[in-house]
Amino acid sequence: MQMISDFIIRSKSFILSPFLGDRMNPNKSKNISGNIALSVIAVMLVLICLISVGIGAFFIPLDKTIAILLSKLGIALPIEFTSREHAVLIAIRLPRVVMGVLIGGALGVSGTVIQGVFRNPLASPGLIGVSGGAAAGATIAIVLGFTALGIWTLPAMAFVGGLGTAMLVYRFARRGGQAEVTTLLLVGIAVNALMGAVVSFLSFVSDDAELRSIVFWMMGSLSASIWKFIWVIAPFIILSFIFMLRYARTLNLLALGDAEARHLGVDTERARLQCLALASIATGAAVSVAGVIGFVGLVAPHLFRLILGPDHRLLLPASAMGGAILLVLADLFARTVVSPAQLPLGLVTALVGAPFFLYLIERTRRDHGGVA
Amino acid sequence: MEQKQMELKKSILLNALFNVKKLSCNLMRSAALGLATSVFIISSVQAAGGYPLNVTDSFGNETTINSAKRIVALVPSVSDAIFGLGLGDLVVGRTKNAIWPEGVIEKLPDVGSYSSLNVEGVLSLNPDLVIMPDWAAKKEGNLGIFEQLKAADVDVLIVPELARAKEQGKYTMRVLEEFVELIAAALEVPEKGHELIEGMRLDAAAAAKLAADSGKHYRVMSMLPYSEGSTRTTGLMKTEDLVIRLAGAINVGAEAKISGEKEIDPEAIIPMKPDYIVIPQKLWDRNEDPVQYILAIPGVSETPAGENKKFLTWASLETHRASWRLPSAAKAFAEKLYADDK
Repeated sequence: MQMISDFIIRSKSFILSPFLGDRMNPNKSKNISGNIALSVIAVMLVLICLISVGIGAFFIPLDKTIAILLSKLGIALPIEFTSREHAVLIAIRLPRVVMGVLIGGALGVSGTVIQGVFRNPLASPGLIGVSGGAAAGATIAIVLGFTALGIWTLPAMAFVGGLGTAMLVYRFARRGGQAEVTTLLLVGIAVNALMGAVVSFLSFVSDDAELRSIVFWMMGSLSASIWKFIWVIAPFIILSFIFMLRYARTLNLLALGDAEARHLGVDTERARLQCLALASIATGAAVSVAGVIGFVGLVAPHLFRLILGPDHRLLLPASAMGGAILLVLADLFARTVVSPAQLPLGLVTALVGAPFFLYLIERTRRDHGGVA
Repeated sequence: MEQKQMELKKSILLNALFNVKKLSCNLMRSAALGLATSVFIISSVQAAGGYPLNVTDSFGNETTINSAKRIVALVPSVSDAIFGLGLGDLVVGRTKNAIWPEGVIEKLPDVGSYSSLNVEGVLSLNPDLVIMPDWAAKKEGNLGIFEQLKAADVDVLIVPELARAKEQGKYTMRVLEEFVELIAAALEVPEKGHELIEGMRLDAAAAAKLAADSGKHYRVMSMLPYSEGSTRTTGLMKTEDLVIRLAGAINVGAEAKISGEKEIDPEAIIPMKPDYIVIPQKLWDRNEDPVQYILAIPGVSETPAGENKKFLTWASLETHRASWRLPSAAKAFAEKLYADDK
């Protein structure tokens, strides 16, 4: 509770201040090249989304795709399309791509924030228990047959489970108003193991149908993307993203080390708590509708740190867009390569992400003699 | 226990001889409800007469079927039923594990297994009707699928399977029959449905007769020895349980109150005292010396089945689904089970 109220009080002052609080930054040249890099990534994201909307198991010719999309914007083209083509594009494929952008973005930016907070390249949203807790919440809903909130039951339980677990990890790791990074990581590992045990136990007592739901959820998927879900998770993800951008400078200072950051006027404890809360909210919202999708939160920050350097003012928006690109691409692959069936999304992200991660480690080792 | 077994056999025999619906299965706890459902389905078919057609689905909801010319079957038991009704031409998509009819089903597009279903992939087959089982529609995991199909104007029919079996406490012949009746009604071939059900009852009766002739009440354990140290058994709420019961035997897993397919402690196998252990043919074929392999599982050698090396196999893709072909699998299993008693 303390955490939340702290966070709300603290964040109010940010809402009113300008979008990015680094306008006084003297390092102009860096900003210009950085802005170019961000624009390139943004253009790539838009292109990949358009391609992704254009391709799918249900064949819709390009001209019809454009006609349907424009008709939604109120522009009528003289191209005929059937109501089923319209339904597939608007009710199934488009929300799936939008969901991919939101969730990939949430995972990417949360990964960067958490790695920054912990100054640890192995940290990811999963580590502080968000994914594990969300999985436990979802499994409880599936196996105990909760239906109180109808179609919302599962996402709500997952969200509460994810956030609750992250809070638990933080409470445990905190002593005398301080949470040591190493302790936090260790507590995260222990609590994750506990949540894993909860999921395993519930899988054991589940029936066939429930087990299938659990597996589906644990593997992650964007196939349950419907607009209803998007309208609910979008505010959580977008707002927490905007607030996270506010912490770019703080994260840069934290990178110097706790003592140094404190000398430079950063309330490290509070900043860390608020960053973790924001990342947990974004990740919790993402996991609540798409299940556990690994590697995006780990790979996106590393990828862009290698390309753009360690400045969080660039890294945060870049890893959000980069996470979105990675996830939309992975989903495009998952849903088209074995069409009309599809691969589990978590499988694709791990299949691409893990070797890529190994490559990153190898490359860093060659260049600097060590990771990070 | 013995008395119950005799009752079971008697009822199945009576069924086949007299074809009395009321006695269809005394395993069933809610005969009245089942009867009401089936009467309702039949009456609604007569009332509507041709498409669009109103049927009552497994959840008791009125479902309108506008046409059924291109059907995607989201579980193998559904494609089994449609082919069984002689309407296989209507099936345009099937799931991964659909194996029947051999040589035909493989040629149809595979939409994956239920847990990795892509709605757009299903829609790419241009279906007008998608048939899915009750458990799939009830559980949250893939719930988006139902809504997405509806959004694309595809009719969805929900048929009774695991959720219905749970209501009844276990899988029964009645669940399988309702399944066939509902699909037959939706496809406007109720008589074909009755023929199919007749055949199912004959198979069940034949299995029961083999058991009655032998005079034995074997204790059977359905075992899945996936790897050393991981032995699973199937209890209640699995179709394998119904196969064993139809064959007039006792499923020791169900007797031990195991629900679903669960890993078991090797020590716990001994007090279950199975006379026979049945394992999937695939797992059997995987080993060079399957008998030794099963005997090496801790606990097995201490059971009557282990002492007498009474190990059987069945085709798990046949016994693992609530298909109309299950009674015929039960008959085949009974033939193996009582082969030594002739």
